[in-house]
Amino acid sequence: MIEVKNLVKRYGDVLALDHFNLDVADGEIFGLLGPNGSGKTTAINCMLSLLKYDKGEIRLFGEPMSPDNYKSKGKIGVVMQNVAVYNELTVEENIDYFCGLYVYDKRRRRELVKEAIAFAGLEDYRKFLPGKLSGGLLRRLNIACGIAHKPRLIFMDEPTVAVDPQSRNSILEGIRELNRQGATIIYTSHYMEEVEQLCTRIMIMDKGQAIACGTSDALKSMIRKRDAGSNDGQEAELTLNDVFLELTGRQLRD
Amino acid sequence: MFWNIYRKYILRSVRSKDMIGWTLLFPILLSTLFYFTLQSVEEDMTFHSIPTAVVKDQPMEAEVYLVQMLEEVSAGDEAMLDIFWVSEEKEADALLETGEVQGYISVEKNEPRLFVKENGIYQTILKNLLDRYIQIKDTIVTIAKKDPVTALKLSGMTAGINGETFDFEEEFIRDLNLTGRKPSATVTYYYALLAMICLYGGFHGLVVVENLQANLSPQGARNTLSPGSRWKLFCASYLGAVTVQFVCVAVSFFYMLLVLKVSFGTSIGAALGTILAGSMTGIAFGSVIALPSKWKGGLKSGVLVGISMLCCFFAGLMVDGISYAVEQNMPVLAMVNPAARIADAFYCLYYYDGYASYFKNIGILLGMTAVFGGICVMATRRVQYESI
Ligand SMILES: Nc1ncnc2c1ncn2[C@@H]1O[C@H](COP(=O)(O)OP(=O)(O)O)[C@@H](O)[C@H]1O
Ligand SMILES: [Mg+2]
Repeated sequence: MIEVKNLVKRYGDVLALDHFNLDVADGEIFGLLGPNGSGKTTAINCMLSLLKYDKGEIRLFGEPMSPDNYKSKGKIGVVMQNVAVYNELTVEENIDYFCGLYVYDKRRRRELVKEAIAFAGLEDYRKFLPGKLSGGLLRRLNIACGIAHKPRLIFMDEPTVAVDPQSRNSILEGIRELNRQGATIIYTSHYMEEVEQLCTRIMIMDKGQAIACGTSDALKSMIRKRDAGSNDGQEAELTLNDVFLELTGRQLRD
Repeated sequence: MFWNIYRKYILRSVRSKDMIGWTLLFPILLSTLFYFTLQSVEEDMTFHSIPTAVVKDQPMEAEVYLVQMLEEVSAGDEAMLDIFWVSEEKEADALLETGEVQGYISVEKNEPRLFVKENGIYQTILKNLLDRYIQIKDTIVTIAKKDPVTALKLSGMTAGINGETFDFEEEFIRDLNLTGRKPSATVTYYYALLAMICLYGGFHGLVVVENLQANLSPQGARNTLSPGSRWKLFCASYLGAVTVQFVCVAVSFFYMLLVLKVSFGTSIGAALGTILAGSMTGIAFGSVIALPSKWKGGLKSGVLVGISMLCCFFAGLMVDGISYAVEQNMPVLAMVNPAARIADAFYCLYYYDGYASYFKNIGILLGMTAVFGGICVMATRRVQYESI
């Protein structure tokens, strides 16, 4: 589904991605976990051909990705880190607008918009302008706008930042549902609990590099092996933060 | 996809308070202010023909048709010119010096010439009048070289040949295309004001491009990811902007026409055409201003307002006569000043019966729109950003 090889991206002097590699298979919920500034957003924007990059190769759906690869773009859904909705359009109109960029048939679109509203739990807010929504609802609208057209591949860049725990749980449940319906999902976050719960595989990023990749258990057993014999009593409480700490010598949340 | 973007753009504009305030309320307020300010000026100016001296010496007598034309436009109660016929250039000069006439006309080496002391609306009118005369005369001379019979017919000497009569005098006056309306200095202020409102459409241009470029807004990034070509996205929202802007300017226009009783000539359709072309130019111009990603915050709006106001200043929004002075001294600058072209297009409709000068102005406006639009389409095409 996604193949990224040796991706290098610089912003002037800042090396944002340093020979970054990624392979995601069809049907996965793939987590990109890393502290702020580790290059998650940059990696996603490169994959989407929004950003120029200095070196590397990116293939989506088995094809090289480029700004005018409309066939691939049509199958992708994106939930950006920054909420991208229009303040003068209602919840319903916003979803209809973004869905309309992909689905031209009006009747089909009406159905899809309805489904997306139900999916995001926004039934009671249809006619609301985004300015009147709470942070959590706004994030849900952002998600609904990104996925209404039923994309096969969904990029979600920190969709739950600044969202209350209740909204967060419903969002996570929604993402699982999308995945059950057949979508492959790339999910970035700097909250390890979230990624741990949700993702089939996780890549830990730091300073533009992938420092480890695997299932949550595999990542944990990696450090378990290293520490074998030292203090076995704590095994059960290992978290991804421990993995991160072990690999980089720093805390994930700093 | 196209119409979805188009409709949503209109919806967004209609609900945006800024947009409605600046393109609807502000112009109506301003034109009302103009109205009360200009009313007193208008009273001073009504029923004044332009005092003009004509040196009726030997060379002038030779220009039979010029004399005829001048007699024609100075006849009657509401004549355009109030002519002082003098026999020597010195006399005319003296009249001009004392300010009794706005200018004088004499003929030297078979060329009519206009002498003025200052630049203003009256001088513009006099110059237009002479220019038209020279243009028509040249045409006839050219025809005479190629086709003497027609030229003879045109000159009226062979009236009756082949059963046709051809009255040069009548034909000539008709060809001057004067509507017979009195020249007015006050209408030009309203025309310049409409030009300003059209150019303020540039704010739409800022919004259109901001919503298209990933490095300018999150919405831009989101739109960039859609599976449609970028120029379609641009055209759809641009068209939406033109629609909104056109309706808003048209409201101001009808307000001026129906409530303030500003005269716009007889062709309302052509006046609306000016508004459409002007709006298109304004929005396309704003779109270009929106392109540089390094210009942050209010800088783009500032640049836009600054340039628009400068254009309007040189089109005569604040000071009467400026547009004439620019046209005289920097014709190229006057030619590419969209505000001057819009105001002039209105003026042509008010002042001439024919459409030649009107279409020239519209042509220039559309040409500029094409250039600006082309720049935007090229700049947004297939773009991948260095940083967003
Ligand atoms: N537009 C930009 N210009 C310059 N540097 C940037 C820009 N965007 C991101 N960076 C830098 O690139 C690195 C990666 O940032 P980013 O991809 O946003 O990380 P993340 O999404 O993991 O928080 C950071 O060091 C950040 O400061
Ligand atoms: Mg990020």
